[in-house]
Amino acid sequence: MRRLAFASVVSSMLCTATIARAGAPARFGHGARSTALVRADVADTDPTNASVQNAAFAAEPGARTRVGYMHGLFDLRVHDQSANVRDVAGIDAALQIGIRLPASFSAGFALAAHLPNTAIAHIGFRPGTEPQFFQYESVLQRATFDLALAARRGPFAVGVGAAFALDMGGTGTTVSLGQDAQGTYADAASDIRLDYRAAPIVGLSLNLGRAAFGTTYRGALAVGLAVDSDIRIALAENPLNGTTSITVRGVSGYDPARFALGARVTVHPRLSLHAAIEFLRYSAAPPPVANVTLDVRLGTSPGRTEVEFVAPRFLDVLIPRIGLEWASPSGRPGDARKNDDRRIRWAARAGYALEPSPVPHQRGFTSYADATSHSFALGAGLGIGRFWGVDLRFDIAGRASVLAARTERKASLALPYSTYDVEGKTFVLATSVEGVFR
Amino acid sequence: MVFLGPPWVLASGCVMAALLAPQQTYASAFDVQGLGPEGVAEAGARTTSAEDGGAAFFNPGSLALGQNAATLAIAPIVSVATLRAQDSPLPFEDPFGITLTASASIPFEGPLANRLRLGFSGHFLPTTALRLLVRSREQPFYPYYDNRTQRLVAVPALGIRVAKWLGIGFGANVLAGVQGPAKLEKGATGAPEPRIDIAANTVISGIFGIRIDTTHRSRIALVVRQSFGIPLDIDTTADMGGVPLATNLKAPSAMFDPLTIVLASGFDIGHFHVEGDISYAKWSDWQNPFLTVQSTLPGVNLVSRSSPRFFRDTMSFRIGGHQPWRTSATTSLVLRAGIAAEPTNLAGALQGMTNLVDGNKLTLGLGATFAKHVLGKTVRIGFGASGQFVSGFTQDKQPCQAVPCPVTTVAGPDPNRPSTGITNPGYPRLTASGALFSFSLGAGVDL
Repeated sequence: MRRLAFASVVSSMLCTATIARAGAPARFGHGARSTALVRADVADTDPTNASVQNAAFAAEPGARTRVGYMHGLFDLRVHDQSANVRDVAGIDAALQIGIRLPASFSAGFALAAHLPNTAIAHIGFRPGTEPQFFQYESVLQRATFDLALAARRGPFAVGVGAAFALDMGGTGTTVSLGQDAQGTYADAASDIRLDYRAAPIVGLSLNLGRAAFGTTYRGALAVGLAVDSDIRIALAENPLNGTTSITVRGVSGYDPARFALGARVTVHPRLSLHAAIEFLRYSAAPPPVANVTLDVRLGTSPGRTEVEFVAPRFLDVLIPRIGLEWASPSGRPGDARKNDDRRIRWAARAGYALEPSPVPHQRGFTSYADATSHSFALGAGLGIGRFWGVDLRFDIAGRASVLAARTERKASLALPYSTYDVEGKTFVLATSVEGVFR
Repeated sequence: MVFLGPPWVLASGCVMAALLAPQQTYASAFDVQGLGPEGVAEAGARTTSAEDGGAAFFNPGSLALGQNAATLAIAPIVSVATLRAQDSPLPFEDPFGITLTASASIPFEGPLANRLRLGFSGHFLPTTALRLLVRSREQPFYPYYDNRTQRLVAVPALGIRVAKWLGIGFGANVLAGVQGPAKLEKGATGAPEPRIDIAANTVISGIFGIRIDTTHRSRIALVVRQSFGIPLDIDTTADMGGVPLATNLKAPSAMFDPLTIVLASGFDIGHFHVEGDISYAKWSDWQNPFLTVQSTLPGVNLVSRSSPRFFRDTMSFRIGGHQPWRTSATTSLVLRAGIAAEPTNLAGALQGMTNLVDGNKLTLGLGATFAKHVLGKTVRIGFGASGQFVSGFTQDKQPCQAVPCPVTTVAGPDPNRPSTGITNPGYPRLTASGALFSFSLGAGVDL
């Protein structure tokens, strides 16, 4: 019960860590083990990773907490010029608590948060006609928070949860530029709201001993932006007097709905093979650019007062993932220990994923940039036993992804960026330490 | 427990707390409405007595000395305001929230056993994490109440039991500010296209606390809460038919809460516990509650007018107490009451076009907690109510008689006759008064 209470406090803290979404953990993994297995661990994930990988594992009895750090370096290029995509880096924190119940039942919950180094969120829009790696920009630059609850009976477990995000809206900002007997003045009033948004998480697992199976679903999430600005100008002898209303609407950092099926097979007492296939429903994605409406009543008027981009018609993608885990004779670092078991445990891991691009050939004004990527990962884990009542393990992983070169040629040379090449590499390093409380 | 430790322990703890408290927290809704039924009923005088999750805010040092393995409580709170200015009611934004508190010992063994405790105090709004309202300069409003109940408050804390009689702790108040450029430029299509790169940067300020149990029946405590403010800094540029418009909006400390230092003493008389708090709030650090605007048009550069120093530091007093009664072998009842006095944070400077109002505040609180032991646990249901009565505010506006007009005056549109045609809503006399009533009903369990 103390564990449960302790967990409730830690979970309260993690809950408030932020604003959230799937973000970087859903792409690179939450914790070093998942990163090393390129997220192929759908059927056999760490309980602390349940809310990200498979909610069903939140029912594992025991109390665990994990903290880690990940850093992703991006070298993404358009026409051999850097696309200036920010690196992604931040702290990963997770908690899982499960209790045994009568009749072979167990139940628990898990929380996972990712806290970027520099900002809780970046809301970014590039001009719609400019080449942009939308999969690597705002979507990865946010804090994330996922929550899962699960129940297990025997080999079968089911979990549900939610991923949370915030919309940015409100009635907007009014700027007044005026003049009275004291002279000119500038004044402003603003009303900004950050409203909650949530997406469902569902997970199932079946553990048959040498073979295990899992499936997960995570709903789509994005950050909606709705910004209205009114500018009123009333200055003596100014030809620009009047009002301007600017409305910007967009969806930043769309993360599609994901459905994954996975399996784990123990081909040798020390060797496990993990495999998963993930379906990403990018076809429902809204344009990753913002629409603008102007209402100008000044001494001058722009030629066009509205721009709205059509749906990008991204493609749904299937991502195959495969991972290997070779453990020490005494077991994997995260496995349960007896009180007198102080042996060092280790594990070596590797993974590969083929990630097709959801971006179709570009034919019109938009110039979305992306390409199929091959991801390779290596990692290791070390369990050092119990200290002050806590079983400690350390994990590290590195992942490299190479984007296959891709060239876009639009039908007309008059279109913006009628020809452009896309290529790039990404590197991710993740470390984590996990403690299991007695 | 009697304080028997060497003086350097005390000294180093106090020095550390002071050094770690550079400038800037508080937790808005907890200060304005109260924290939980107990905090509402005892007028916030719980610096030495709160040992549950509420201690994350009241005093993380008290959190360290909590006896329960764990506590969990949830308490909706709602406020009703009768605040008025210029004979018109003023809105009290987001009056409803849910308070969540939790605390637990970290289950370490060995030398750290029962040494570390985690605590959490949170205030959650039903539909939104934050609503930032920045009002125009002429609008009358109470800066003390504005923007202080309109955000999620999250205060996690760690308490360290140094000795049975000494607890120290620290917490953090976490949220985000908004900074970045937003441009509207002519794109390849000829249409206006936005380039936006707005970052919600993390804002953290600390709460540091120490509690010393000088005897079995008396305690003293010191709490420092850094000031909290959300920076807002947005550059916008737009091209309107070839005419560039550039505007910078800046608020260095939106949703401001001041640096606060609380010195508290509590003692028991039989089963009756009483506590007195003295709080110093450094409101003078707050420049103003408005957006500073700088806008550039062709040939014109407009900036917001400078403002006088609106705010002053305040010293407030709180007294709270509770009396438990055992009503049966498994049930008990605790009655609570509190009173607080806080002077206005407005310095009284003559205002020009602005219309900020405030007054001295007297807070009275009452409440009760019913507790029952069930299956070895204690289940609590509590209720607290408070009324904060604000004294009347009056200020006569000074019309400008001749240009150049001082910033402490109001003026009409005609430079030749500046004292005529004044439309400022606070002219000729700015008046305000009112009260705020808060009610909290909560349930909790001690595990």
